[in-house]
Formats: sequence, C-alpha cells, structure tokens
Amino acid sequence: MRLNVKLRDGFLNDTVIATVNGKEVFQKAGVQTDLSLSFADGFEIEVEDPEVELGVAVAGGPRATRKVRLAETPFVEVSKNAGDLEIRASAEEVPMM
Amino acid sequence: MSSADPTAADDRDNLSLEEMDGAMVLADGVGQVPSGDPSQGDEADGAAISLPSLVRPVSGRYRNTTGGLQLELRVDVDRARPMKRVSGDFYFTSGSTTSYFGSFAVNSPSITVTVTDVTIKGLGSFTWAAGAPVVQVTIPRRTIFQPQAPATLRFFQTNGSPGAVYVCTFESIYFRTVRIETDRVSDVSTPILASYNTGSLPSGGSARNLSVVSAYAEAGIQMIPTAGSDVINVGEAGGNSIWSNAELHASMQQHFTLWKDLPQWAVWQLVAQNHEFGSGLYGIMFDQQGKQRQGCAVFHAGIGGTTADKLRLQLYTYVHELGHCFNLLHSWQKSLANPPALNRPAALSWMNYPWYYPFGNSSGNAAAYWASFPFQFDNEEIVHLRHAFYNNIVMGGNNFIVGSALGRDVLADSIRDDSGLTFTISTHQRSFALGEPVVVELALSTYDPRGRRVHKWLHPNCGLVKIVVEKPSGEVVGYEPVIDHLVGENETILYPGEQITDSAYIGFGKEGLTFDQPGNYRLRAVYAALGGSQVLSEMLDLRVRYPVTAAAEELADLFMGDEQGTLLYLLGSDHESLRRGNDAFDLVLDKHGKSDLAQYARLVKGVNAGRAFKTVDRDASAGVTVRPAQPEESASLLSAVASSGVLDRVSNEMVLTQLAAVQSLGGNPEAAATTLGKLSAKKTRGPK
Repeated sequence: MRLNVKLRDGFLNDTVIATVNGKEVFQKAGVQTDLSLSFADGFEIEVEDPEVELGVAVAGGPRATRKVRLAETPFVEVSKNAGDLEIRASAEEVPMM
Repeated sequence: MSSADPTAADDRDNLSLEEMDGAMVLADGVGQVPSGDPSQGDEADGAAISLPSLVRPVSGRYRNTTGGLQLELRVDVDRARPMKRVSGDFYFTSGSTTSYFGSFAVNSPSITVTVTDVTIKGLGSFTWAAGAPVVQVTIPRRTIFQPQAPATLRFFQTNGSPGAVYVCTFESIYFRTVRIETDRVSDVSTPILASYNTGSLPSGGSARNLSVVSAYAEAGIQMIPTAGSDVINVGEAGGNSIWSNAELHASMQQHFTLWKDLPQWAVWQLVAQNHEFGSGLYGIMFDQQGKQRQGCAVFHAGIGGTTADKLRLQLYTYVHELGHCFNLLHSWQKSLANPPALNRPAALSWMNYPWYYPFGNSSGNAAAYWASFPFQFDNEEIVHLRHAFYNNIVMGGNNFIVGSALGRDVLADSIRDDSGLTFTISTHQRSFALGEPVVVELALSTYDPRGRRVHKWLHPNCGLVKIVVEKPSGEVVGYEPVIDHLVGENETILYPGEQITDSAYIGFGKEGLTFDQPGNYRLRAVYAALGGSQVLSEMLDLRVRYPVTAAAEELADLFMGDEQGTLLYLLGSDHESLRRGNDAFDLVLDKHGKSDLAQYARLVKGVNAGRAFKTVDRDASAGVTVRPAQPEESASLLSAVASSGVLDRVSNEMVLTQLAAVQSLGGNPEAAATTLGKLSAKKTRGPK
C-alpha cells in the first residue's frame, strides 16, 4: 500500500523530518510553502502494514504524530499553523490549484 | 499640477474661478450617501444611489492626458457591486516611453448625489507624499440619450486650498483592461473550456453562462483575448510529456506573443495535460521569477471533460489561476500577504478551495461550497482588482504576495471576533523625534472566565505577531524583523486579570527604517492565536516630529542609518560592517550626551559591552577572536540609561536586569542586589 504525504501550508525555510513507525523516511532542509499552490513538498512510500504511525517534525519546532489507516485514508496533508503541525488524512487526494 | 506631485496646483492647469463655479453644482447635504459597507450586499448597494432609470450610471474608467502626464481614474459608486471608492494611476510620457508615477485611492469617501451631479470626496491614500491629499470627483448626471459625461478630479490640501484639477473623459465601464492569450498543448485530449452554465448544478448564484472573460467582466475587469493563440508541441515539456515549472516558464517566453520583461496588462494562460506534480494539480501560477505573475497553466489531466461538474471545475480553475496573476492569494492565506490581511477561509470566492470550505452538508464540505458559491470574487478581492495600486496588481509588477491584499482589509476592524482574547499595542509616548527608536509594548489578555490556552510568542521576531504600519504617505507596510526566530512550544492558560507582555523595537526591519519620515503613523498588531484566530489590536496613532533645531536635525541624521538601525535591533555589535553605526553613536555621546536620544546610544553600547563578543577570525589560532565582557563600562552606561526615565517600562526592566547581571559579573553583588530591588519595586508599582 502506498502512503502519500504532502507538506502544505505554513512552511518557511524549514527542515522537515518524517518517520513511519519510528523509522525516518524523509528529511529535507529549506522546505518552503509556495503560496500560489499551498504546497511545499511531498513524498510517497510503500508500506506493508495496514496501519502506520506517521511522525512529522520541524527541526527546532513543532512535531506531531498520527495513526494512518492506509486502506481508508492513504492521502495525508501536513500543515504548519500558528506554531503547530496539523496532520490530516483523507480517502482521496486533495487537489491543488 | 507639477511633475513632482501631480496633486499640486500650478497656474497652467487650474480652471478659472468661473469654470470652477460652473462645474461645482453641489448642494450640501442633498442626497448625501454615507460610504457604506459593500459587504451588505446588492440590496444595500442598490439603495445607496437610487438614480432614476433613465440616468446613466457614472462608474467606470476615465482618462486625462495633459502634456506628458496621463491620469487613469476609476470611479466605483454604482453599476454592479459598487465598492464605494475612487482610485487612479498617474503616468509620465516622454517621447515614446511611458513610465508609471504613482497611485492613489480613496477608500471611505462621502458620496453626494444631486439632481445634476454625483460627487465623491475623501482623503486619499497615495504612493507618494501628496501635497494635496483630499480627492474630489464630480461627474454630471446624464440621461441614457446623452453621451457619458466627463469626470472632474480636484485635489485639495487638508486646509481646503485647491490643488490640481483634471477633467477626465469617460473611457470604459471596466476598471481595468487586460489582454489574455490562451495557448493549448498538443496532447490535451479534452476541449478547452468555452463556458459553463452556472445553473447546470446547484449553486449559490443566478444561472448564467460564464466564461473566463465574462467571469472577470462581472468583477469589472475586461479581458480581451489576443489573436496570438497557439498550439504548443508537447515535446517542449521534454520527452516525458510532463511539464515542470521551468519548462512552463520557457514556453511562456517563447509562445506568449505579448511577453516582455516589463509590467504590462497582459497575461498568458496555457491549457496543458500533465504537470510533474501529478493529476492532483489542477492549475498553477508558475511565473515566480523575474517580472512575476505573467503566466499560469491549467492541467486537463485533473479537470478535463465535458460533464457539468468538469466544466464547472475548469471554469473555477481557469479563473482561479488568473486570479493569482492579479496577485490574489488563496482565501485562507490572506494573512500571509505583505502587508497582511485577515484570512477568510469561509469566503465564497474563486480564490478559495471548495474542499477546504469549513462548513459541510451531508454530501461533504466541497458539495456545500458549490451549493453556496455564486461564481464571483469576494468583496475584498473586488476592491483589489478594481483599486489596488498599480504595481500591486499589474502583471510583472510587485512579486507575488507583495501588496496582494491592499483592499479594505488593511488596518480594518474585524467583523467578528470570538477569540476571547484582547491584544493591545502601545508606546510610552505618542510623539517621537525623527530618528528616535520606536519601541512598542504588546500585551495579551483574556476576558473569558474559563481561561484561554495561548502561546506566549508576542515578539514579531517569532512570526506569530504581525505589525502593520500606515505611513504618512498612506503607504501601508508590514513590519518584517531583520531576523526570523524559529520558536517551539511556549503555551499557557491565560485567565482574566493576567497579562502576557513583551516589547519590540520596530524602527528597523528587513525593509530598512520603518519611521523614515516625519508625520502621523497608524499601527495595528495582529496576534495569530492557537486555533487560527487573528486577534487585532486597537489602532495606535503616533507622530514623528519634524526636527526644528539644528541639534535635532543632526541627531536625526546620526540615528537614521541602516547600521544604526541594525545596532538598535541587535542591541549592539562589534562587527566591522557596523562600524559606521557605532561611530555615529560615539558622536551622539560626544556631542549630544545630555539629549534623550543619547540614552539609546548608551543602551546599545552598554548591553554590547556587558557581553563577550566573538568574531570569526581565520588568522586567530582558535579561529575565533573573543573580546571579553567589559562589566564596568557596561554598568556605567546602563546605570545612566536606567535612571534617565527615557525608555519605556518593559525596556527599562530589561536594562535593570542587564545592569544587575553585569554588576554581578563585575564583582559587585551588593549593587546587583540593589538593582534587582529596584526592578522588583518597579514591577510591583508599575502599570499592568
């Protein structure tokens, strides 16, 4: 099953680290939201478990975790809002424009 | 008028008194229309000016060309969705070149309608320091059997003295005219959108056939398609037939027949099939390099088709991406504009995302959005489209997000605030000498008896508080700190009677000096609360005085430099790049040591002397040169500051804390204890 993660609003030259079940799967510096799209970066990863714990952290800043059930909500959006990270999972890919 | 200030009068262009008398048919109080809130809707708008049906509306675009000066005037008081304001742009033409001079807008005019005239009058906001900032536009009322009447624009000084006069001929019912070129990529397998009948599916507006052109026409913007439309070979997207933003930009430069690296009212829209971000990307305003916002693209992999829902989505995406080219941000991101505005996540606007709509029905949030959406921009966006200052909207003008929200929002009150929080901004004095550092005190409290969870990052450095400044010229800028601080969690539960405070020097930021001219300033602070509320402070008025003595003028010169601003922001530095600033402060202490402003020079030097200062030095054995702390010198300087009574309360507490630290460091614990005792006493006695 494929987990699709998009970093959306609020990132400002951040270093972002993401983990799946505690294992680092994404790290990138200079993550910055393009305000014309509300999109900063993203990644996809194949996972075997039907449910995983996704962790996302901004270096020196907020962090958040959320359990994701891949059969139901494989599309995940992460936004940084007022100093917090918000993780939203959905059944369908949230479009961008 | 003068070329230095087009609002100023000169003999050549003044109308004679007889001419002015003839033009000024204005009965005081007759038909006076208060400048209402356009958000009240069409009924309120319709009631504002009830012209007889055979009388022509007066709104639209007017133009005056006198010699080398050209004025475009926009009058917006009737026709569809009137925003009750006027605005204009001045241009200079020399030979075959035309250059932009400046813009103005009157955001809250009084509107007077008599049997013979419509008169709009109010204090304007200008992009330059206008000598005659009061704007009056008078337009004779004409029947539909007569041609549209000209508009007479008069500028006045604030004391009522007349300034320049311009008689402007009617040009168009549209406020702006933009040429649009739409190209298609060869692999697009579904038709390019022609129009969508908004009655095909449930919606919040009247049923009508809308195209890109007519959608913008409803907003008062004329889109004229060019004849240059082209089919672009998909090979330009590379071997994979998938577009990157770089390929889109290169293609725009090659195929957009009107493309120039200049600000101009022209825009390119590409209809393509696939973008490298996948089919979830419906469209993009990709042009964010060089002169920005000249091009956008839409992708039919996600939106193509001929069913009603696909046609609706195409119309929405096409109009939305072009909105970004006009420098409009997403509805929920307006606070990220520069200067910031209020977020409007529930806006029923082309610039929202239906799937982000905060209210849902049984079919979901997007369905609820579509069922309510009237296929239009919201009022603030309409104001921007019709009245934004030229560089904030013209394609190729200011970069994306700069000046993107200069509508009614800026410095405007919240319509609703249920945050439970009160945020205040204040200064310890209302009048400052030119060059005097402006320090604001910020305070957060709550009136919710249950308490409110809040973050404690009040300093603008932390990015969770924005300060907006309206300068004497009318220019509105958002204060941007020199250094952005990355902050972590720092939350508490705030109860009534408690207060979180901080103070911030805002005299110098990324854009340089904030208070760089004498005159009246208006400030407002916005606290980004947990949960997304934007808590606005009350407006703070302060005045920067003209220097009236030679000493005051010299002090202003000595304080008004980027190096001095940086030193005040950093509270001192040894760095060589700031040497001229330190030299200026030395001169202040030498020549003007008894002045109030000298205390700020002592503050900077005293704080800096109290700390060891490390300089990276490749020649040094450790790679770093360390200048040790100089506690005695620091204590001497800070003692003088602390006893002067010049600084604001929070800054003075900081000085006492620093003073106690350097006294302790210098081996004088008794003095440190005495200083801390003063600090404690001040905290006990001081205002909350």
